[in-house]
Amino acid sequence: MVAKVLAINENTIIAAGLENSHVGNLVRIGKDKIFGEIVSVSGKETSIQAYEDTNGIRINDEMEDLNEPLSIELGPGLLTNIFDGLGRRLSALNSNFIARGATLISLDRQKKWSFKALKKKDDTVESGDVLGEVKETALITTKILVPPGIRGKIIDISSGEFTVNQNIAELKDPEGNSFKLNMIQKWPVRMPRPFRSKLNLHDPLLTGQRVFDTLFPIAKGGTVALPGGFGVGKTFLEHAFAKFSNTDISIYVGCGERGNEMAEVLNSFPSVLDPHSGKSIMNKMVLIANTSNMPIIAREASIFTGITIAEFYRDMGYSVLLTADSTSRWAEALRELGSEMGEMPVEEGFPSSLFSSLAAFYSRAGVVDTLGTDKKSGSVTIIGAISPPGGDFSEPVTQTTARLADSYIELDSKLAGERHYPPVNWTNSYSPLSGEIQQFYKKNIGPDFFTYVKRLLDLLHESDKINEIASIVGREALPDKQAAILRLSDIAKLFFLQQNAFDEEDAYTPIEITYKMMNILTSFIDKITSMIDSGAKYSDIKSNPIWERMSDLKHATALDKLEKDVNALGMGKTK
Amino acid sequence: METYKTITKIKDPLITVTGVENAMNGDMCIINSGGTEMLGEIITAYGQDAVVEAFRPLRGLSRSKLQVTCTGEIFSIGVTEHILGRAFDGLGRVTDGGKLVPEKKTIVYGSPINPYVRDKPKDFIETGISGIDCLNSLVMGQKLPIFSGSGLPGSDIAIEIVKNAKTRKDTKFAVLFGAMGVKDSEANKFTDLLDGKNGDRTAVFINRASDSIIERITLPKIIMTHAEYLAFERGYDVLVVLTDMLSYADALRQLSSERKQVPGRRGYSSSLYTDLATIYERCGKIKDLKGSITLIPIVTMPSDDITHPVPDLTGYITEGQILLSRDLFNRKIFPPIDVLGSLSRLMDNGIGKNFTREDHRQVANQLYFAFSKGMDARNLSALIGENGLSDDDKIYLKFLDDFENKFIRQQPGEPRSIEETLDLAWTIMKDLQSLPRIEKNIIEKYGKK
Repeated sequence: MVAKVLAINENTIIAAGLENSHVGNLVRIGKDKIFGEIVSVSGKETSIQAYEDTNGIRINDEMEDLNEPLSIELGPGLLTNIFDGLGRRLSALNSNFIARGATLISLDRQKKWSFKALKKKDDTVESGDVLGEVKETALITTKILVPPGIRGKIIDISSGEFTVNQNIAELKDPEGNSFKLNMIQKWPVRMPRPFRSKLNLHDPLLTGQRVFDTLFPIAKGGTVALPGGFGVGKTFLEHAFAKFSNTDISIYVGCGERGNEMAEVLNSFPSVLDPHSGKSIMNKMVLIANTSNMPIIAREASIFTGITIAEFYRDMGYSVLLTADSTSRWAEALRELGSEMGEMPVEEGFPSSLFSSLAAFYSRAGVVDTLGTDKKSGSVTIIGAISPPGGDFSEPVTQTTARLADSYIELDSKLAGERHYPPVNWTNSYSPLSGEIQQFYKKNIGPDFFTYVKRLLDLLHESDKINEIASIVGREALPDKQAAILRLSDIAKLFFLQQNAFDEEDAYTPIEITYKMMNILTSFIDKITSMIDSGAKYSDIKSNPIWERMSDLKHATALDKLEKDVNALGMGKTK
Repeated sequence: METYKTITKIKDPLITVTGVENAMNGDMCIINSGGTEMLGEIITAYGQDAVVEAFRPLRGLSRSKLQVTCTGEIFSIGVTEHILGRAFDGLGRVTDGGKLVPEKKTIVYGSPINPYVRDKPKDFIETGISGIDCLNSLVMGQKLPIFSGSGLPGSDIAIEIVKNAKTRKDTKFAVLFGAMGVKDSEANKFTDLLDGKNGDRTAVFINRASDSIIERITLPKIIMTHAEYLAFERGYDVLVVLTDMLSYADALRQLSSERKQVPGRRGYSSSLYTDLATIYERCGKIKDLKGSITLIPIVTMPSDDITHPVPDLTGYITEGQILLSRDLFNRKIFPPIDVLGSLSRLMDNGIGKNFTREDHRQVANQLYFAFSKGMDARNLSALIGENGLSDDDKIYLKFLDDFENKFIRQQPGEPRSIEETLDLAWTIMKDLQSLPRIEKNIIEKYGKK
């Protein structure tokens, strides 16, 4: 029996004749062959969510069950490219507007890759073992792995020039089945890719953003909730993470966001150089663009398309950062879908499955031992931006994500209003670190790293309290010590915490320099407070030129001189 | 085309028709009732039943007289360059009595621009308003809303912009103005735009408060469809001004409650974000094509609350906002632009040497700097009195007065070119002791005039 459309209501289509299909399968509908996904089967009626606009679909239109779930093609050719939420390579569409029913092809079929075999005939291999490699970009060598679920003896393998769909090897398993392998692995996006085991987080993810690398450090394999109202510079911050983090691969998912923002990324990223290699960062990037006016189920899928690509590179032993902007738009897609499906709404109309849906995404982060006999370990870190309605952090998406994520970093509109970027709220944010990472910092960066961090946080919290008083009595009326602390905290904010994304030198700070800055800053704080404690008057020390000189903190080349001067402070005259 | 008389249910604005063969989702229908015709659209179909949403109120119609004809076409309008200089209603029908011969028909829903071919917005659009042009510049391809409040002159500013906006390139420029749910008293002001200066490059689309809410919802789609045609097929730089998005969203809310959808925040449908995005995101530029679409939506914030869902969701999609200030309005300063609350995120793509003037960015930074100094001084003088201020503070206080009364304040009908705006900025800064945000050579060149 041919499957046919029974009913249409916005993006939901009810079909007859699909009662034996699998939930999750893709279907193509009508003469335009638009894509949809089976979401439920009940009696003779099957519910389908269309990935594309349903205008023009007719009752009794025929539909075809593709008999597979939404999958993406993994293989060489992902890096440097931009895909939509369904994994279509946008440069291959050859059109200014996205037409309906365009086929789901991710990888370029024409391009030849130079495949170098690393295994030879008669070798026995398991899932996850490296068969060979391809130089995918100037920065990344893509390893061609034995796909999950396949093992056996190599009966044929050869180096040479191949397109992604040409066979590069043939395997025969102990049962006698043979497998011809090419460089494509097609993988259902909603299914996590397998690994051997999850490990503890043991490596820091250095972002080059000082407030993160010190006060709120992130771990490779960790998850970060990043809520902020509109206009707080969230996007700039995420771009900075995507550009400068010390991960091998960076995946940026624009989920339900502005089209012009993606244009900005596509225009500006190619000329940004990776601070670790000096090559264009596009060499390590994959972009997923689902703009806010694309159909919502495609938006829902975009996050999973992104994380599947992340896992693919993780399985080669790479560290991957996935930045998702914004998970609120994704959750809203869930809400719209839930409402179309008649699901019972709970808090603010979100479906009761919100927690499990977010968990299905965030739990795909982590550090893993990969499959295969050749011991590789890779990681996926997730930074999920959240756009709380009205900037209200008590809303369900922010709160649910906070429960799931390792770190919670709140972007504050008040700080942003004061042009304090990145506007990280130091009171409400937290980012606990495992013992292993603390050890890493102490061993590789500086033994007193966390002492400095604590000193800074204490100063900030103290100055917040004093500011409350100052707003009533005025700064002039404060006692000496409090006045000094306010000024010290101003310095810490202006020249250490604030970072200008537009300034070439300031946009990225290597951790060694950050450490040095923090060292100078905290010894300056200590000097001044101890001078006041031992009886010096603030009015006497406040015009010391050293205060002005602290702006040199931002100039790496001036740090040595500044350090000397700060250390000399209080040694002779104090005025 | 099939005509059906088998109406089973009427519940304004929805009509259920039965016995429909192969109903098409989105099919445009002609609803006829004893001689009066109106349009409708199939929004849901189940087997032989189709639900048609009528574009006009159904009051007074009887089931026995109704007949519904399915055209087999998706909601389309005729597009042509000749819409300029003309007036239309929310369905895109000519309302000035004349005729219009379309070039071709286009479906109004549009398709998303392929992000790969999007070009970065660049180039300056001069609105003639100093508070926007100098400090929150509008860039071609940008969407920059004006957040207004009830009683605040959001639509007066819109009128000024429609009249006076210009590009600085020798390109075809068109302004499409859409008014949704406006009072009759305002509607005339808007149609008058066609008679004034630049009327021939302008088209107005008006849906009055008393008109159908469905037409209020179709209006932005129709305007954006015309804009896409003019921009991407005829090479125009198009500026679209839409007022008021709150009325649009309220119409949407009413419709969604009639459709029995689950209400979200403040009763708006949970799809409000997507809905607004399908209008706003049709702006932009496309590589290899000449034109551009720029959008200024006017959004009224109920009780001046910027966290209300409509301004809030708008802010998440657009690239900045122009915020109006009740305080300035109460002090009779027009246009009452709140300098600190406003922001144009794409400003740097459209200003400077190649677009406006080389001193633009630095002058803007200096104005912000001096403005915040002036605000500090004003707050201080509220506490201790003006006499207690230091000389420096007094200078900044004087600057702030000039800034508000000479720079921000502008008479309607007296637009300033960007050069005049920048020169005026230099004039009000001339008493400042130092200009730390401006480089010396720039001060030499422009400050000594």
